[in-house]
Amino acid sequence: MITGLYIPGGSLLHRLPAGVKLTLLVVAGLGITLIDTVLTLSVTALAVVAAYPFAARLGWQPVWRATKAILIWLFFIAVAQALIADLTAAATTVLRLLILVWTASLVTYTTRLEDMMSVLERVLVWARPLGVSPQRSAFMIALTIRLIPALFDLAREVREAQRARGVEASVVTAVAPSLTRVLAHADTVSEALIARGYDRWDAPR
Amino acid sequence: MTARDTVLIATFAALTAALGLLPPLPVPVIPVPVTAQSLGVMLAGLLLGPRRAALAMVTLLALVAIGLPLLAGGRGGLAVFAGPSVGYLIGWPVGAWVIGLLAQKAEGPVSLGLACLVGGIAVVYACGVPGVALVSDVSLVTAALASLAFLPGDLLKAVLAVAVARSVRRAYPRVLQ
Repeated sequence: MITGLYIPGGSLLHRLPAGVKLTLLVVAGLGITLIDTVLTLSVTALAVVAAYPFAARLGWQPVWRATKAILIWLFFIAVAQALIADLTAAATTVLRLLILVWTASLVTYTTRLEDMMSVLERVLVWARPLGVSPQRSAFMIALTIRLIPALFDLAREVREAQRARGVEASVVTAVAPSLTRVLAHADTVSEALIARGYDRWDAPR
Repeated sequence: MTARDTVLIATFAALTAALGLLPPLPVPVIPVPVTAQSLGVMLAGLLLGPRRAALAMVTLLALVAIGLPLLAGGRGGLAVFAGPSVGYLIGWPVGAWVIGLLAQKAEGPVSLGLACLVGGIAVVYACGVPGVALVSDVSLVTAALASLAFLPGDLLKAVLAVAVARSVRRAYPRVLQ
C-alpha cells in the first residue's frame, strides 16, 4: 500500500484546519516575494525551520527530507547565480526557494491525506459548471491509489510467466505484455463499476 | 465520461506513479539519473488519446499535491509545486494532450515517434524551462541549457514508448476507443 508524506502528531499545526493552512501557505508564498535582503530572508528561513521541532513537533529530520529533494537544484542555482551575478544573488535565490519548499512541506507533513482530499473536493465543487464531477474525481483518485500496488502485482505475474517459459525479457518484451494485462484489468474494473450502477452516480442536476 | 474512461485515466495515472517508484537508471555520460516516469506521460498520450491522457496526468498531480510521494525519488507533497521543476509537472498534462492529439490517427513508428518528440519533449520542456528560469532567477537560455541534461534520457524514452505502444496497440486495439 502507498503511504502519504503525513507525519502523525497532535501539535497546533496538526490541528489547524487544512483549508486554513493552505490559505496561509498561499499568503506566505506571495509574502516571500516582498522580502529581498539576505538578512531578513535568513531570519525567515530560520523561523520556518524552527517551526518544525517547535510549532509542529516533528523534530529536525523532516527538514532534511524536504531539503534533500531539491539538493541538486540548490546546487545548480547557487553555482549559476554566483557565476552570472554575485554571492548575494545566489544567497537570496537559494534562501527564497528553501523558505517556500520548507513552508509547503510543513503543510504536507502536518495535514492528513483525507483532510487534503476534502479540501480538493470542496474546490472541485466550484468547477462543477465546467463539467467536473467532484464525486467522480474523488473516486478516480481513490481508484488510482488502489491501482498502483495492483500494477506491480500484474507486472510480477507477467515476469514470472515469462521466466517459467524460459524467456529472458528485454524492456519492451517485459513492459508491453504487462501493459496489455493492465488494460484487460481496466476493462474488468469498469465492467464491475457499471454493474454497481456507476452510470447513475452524480446524475446532472 | 464513461466508467471505462474513468478506469483508464486512473490506470495510467497509477502507471506513471508506478514508473516513478522504479529505481532511477544511472546512464554513463549523462549527468542526471534517468527515471522512467516521463515514459508514463508518453504512453498515456500514445494509448489514451488527448483528453484521457491529460486527465490521467492531472489525476497524478492531484495525488502528489495532497501528499503522496509519487514522483521519481519519492518526492511529493506541495513542495514540488514550489520547486524549480514545477513547470515540467505542469507540462505533463499539456504534453500528454498534445501527444494524444498527434498520435490519435497515427500508425507508423515515425509519426508516433514524432508525436512523442513534439508533445513529450518539446511541449514539456517549453513548460519546464520557464519554471526553472523563474524559480532559479536565471535567463531562459541558461535554464534551457541546464535542461539539456535530461534530453538523452527523454529521447531514449520516446523510442521505448513508441515500441511499447505499438506492441500494445496490436495486442489490444480497443484501447484507443
